[in-house]
Amino acid sequence: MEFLLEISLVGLAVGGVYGLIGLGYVIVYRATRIVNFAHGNIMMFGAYCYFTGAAVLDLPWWAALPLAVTATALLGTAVERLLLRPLEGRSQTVAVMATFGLAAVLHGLVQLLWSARDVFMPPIFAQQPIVLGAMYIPANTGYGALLALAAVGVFLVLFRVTNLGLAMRATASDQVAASSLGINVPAMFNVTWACAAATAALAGVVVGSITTLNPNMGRIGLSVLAVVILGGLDSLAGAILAGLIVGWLEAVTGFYLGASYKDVVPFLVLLTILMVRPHGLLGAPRVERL
Amino acid sequence: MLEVKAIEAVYGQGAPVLRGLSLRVPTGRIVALLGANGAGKTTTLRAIAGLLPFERGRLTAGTIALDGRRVDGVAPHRLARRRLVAVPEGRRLFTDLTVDDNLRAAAWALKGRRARPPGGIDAVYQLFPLLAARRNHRAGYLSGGEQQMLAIGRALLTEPSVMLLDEPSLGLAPRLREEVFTGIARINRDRGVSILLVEQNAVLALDIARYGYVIEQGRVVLEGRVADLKANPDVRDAYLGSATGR
Ligand SMILES: Nc1ncnc2c1ncn2[C@@H]1O[C@H](COP(=O)(O)OP(=O)(O)O)[C@@H](O)[C@H]1O
Ligand SMILES: [Mg+2]
Repeated sequence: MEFLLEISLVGLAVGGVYGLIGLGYVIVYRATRIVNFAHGNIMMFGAYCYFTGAAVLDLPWWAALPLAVTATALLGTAVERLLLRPLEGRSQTVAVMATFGLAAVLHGLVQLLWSARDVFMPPIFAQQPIVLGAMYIPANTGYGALLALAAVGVFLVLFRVTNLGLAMRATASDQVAASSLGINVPAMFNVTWACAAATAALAGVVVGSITTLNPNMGRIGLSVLAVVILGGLDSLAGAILAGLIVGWLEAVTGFYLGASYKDVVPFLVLLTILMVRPHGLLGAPRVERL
Repeated sequence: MLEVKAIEAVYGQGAPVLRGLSLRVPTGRIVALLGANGAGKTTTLRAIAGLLPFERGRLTAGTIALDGRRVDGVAPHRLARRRLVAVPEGRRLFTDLTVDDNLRAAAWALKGRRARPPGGIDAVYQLFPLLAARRNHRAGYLSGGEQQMLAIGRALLTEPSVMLLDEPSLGLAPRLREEVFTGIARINRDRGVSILLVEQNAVLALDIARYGYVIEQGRVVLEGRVADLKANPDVRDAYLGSATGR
């Protein structure tokens, strides 16, 4: 029983990180109807930026982290302005293809600028495991999850409470109306991409701390995309809920059934849910041609 | 004064939809734009409001000027700053936002760009009291009439000098239709907003307008003061048939 609880907590912690990664997909999808296949590699770019700040420039974490988040947000801004805005008016499929191209470019760029080998990220959190009664939670996973949840909270407040968030939600709801009322729609898309990239950078630092850093780290983005589809591509709450469910399932099946089931069972559950609810757990029914 | 001169518009690679259309909306007036389905009324409003690009359409000739300054080709959010606002076809509310958030989003968009900050959400609730009772409901769950009131109220928060309305009576019950049209007349009378009003329901439109245009296949075929239009036998046959029978 104690074991199940400990395993569950670790699973939920990992799930919280999935939720943060998923958030980035959802905010871009809601605003622009683009599934961003480069999200995983933007996350990796953020992690390497942190690595550069902390390991190469030897900055303390409180300087390296904002630096990485800012640099990655700027990358998001540039992607919107230089890659996607020129495609405005073309079909959505073209934009999605462009994100595939971007993913490949980032993958190559990181190998070129840094290295293709695994590197260790300087620890950002205290390294003693978190002890709760008789339970041990690994430090990077536990603190990483706390950072992820804090970031999710900050962005939810941004969207739900601030006027900028309101304008972003209005734009996501109807571009024509938003534009008619004086909202600068391209500027809103730009802010949206910057926010998504900023969450990706935070997620990259957390994932990089839990595992190691290498140019293939972006692949986790694709698994999380599946998780996000489970939650409903257009639902922030759905992404977080689905992240927690899949994280928990992975941990529990991995422990009780063995590591080889860890990748299979959550996705069987996912497929089953999608058969019952094609728009995901909390997604709105809507026809999508991808 | 809004002045549209000889505009032509197309969608995609299609044939021209507007073919040399001209019209004027003098300051402070309500002008009606009538015409059969497919005549090009909605396209005219889209052209003026800069919304054609959203439909893969564009202007191919002509000019549009607001108080003497050219505004054709200007992006919609910039037009809003020049006090021209459209309530587009289909109302286009932010359906998953509440009534209040729909209004707040509109009020925020131009805040800081106006000498007097809009902040007039309460004025919208006074104009349309039905909305006040629904302020925390999602816009998508409102009745057709309430949705139309919200669409107009939201546009009002940009403090326009010119408002374009596309078929505000469409699909509304008679009582709500009255209420919406009373609201439109008050916006014109109390705030001096010039209005270009597209309507299928010519009886309603000619009731509050001063001047009217009738368009067919993308060009103006008849224009005149409302009294003259009402007396015109062609207009009576084509658009006021139900009125003569009443
Ligand atoms: N988004 C669009 N794409 C292509 N053609 C359109 C579009 N909207 C309208 N049209 C065409 O333009 C013509 C005029 O339509 P519209 O302006 O909607 O007329 P009205 O509002 O007077 O009914 C019609 O032939 C219609 O089929
Ligand atoms: Mg129409």
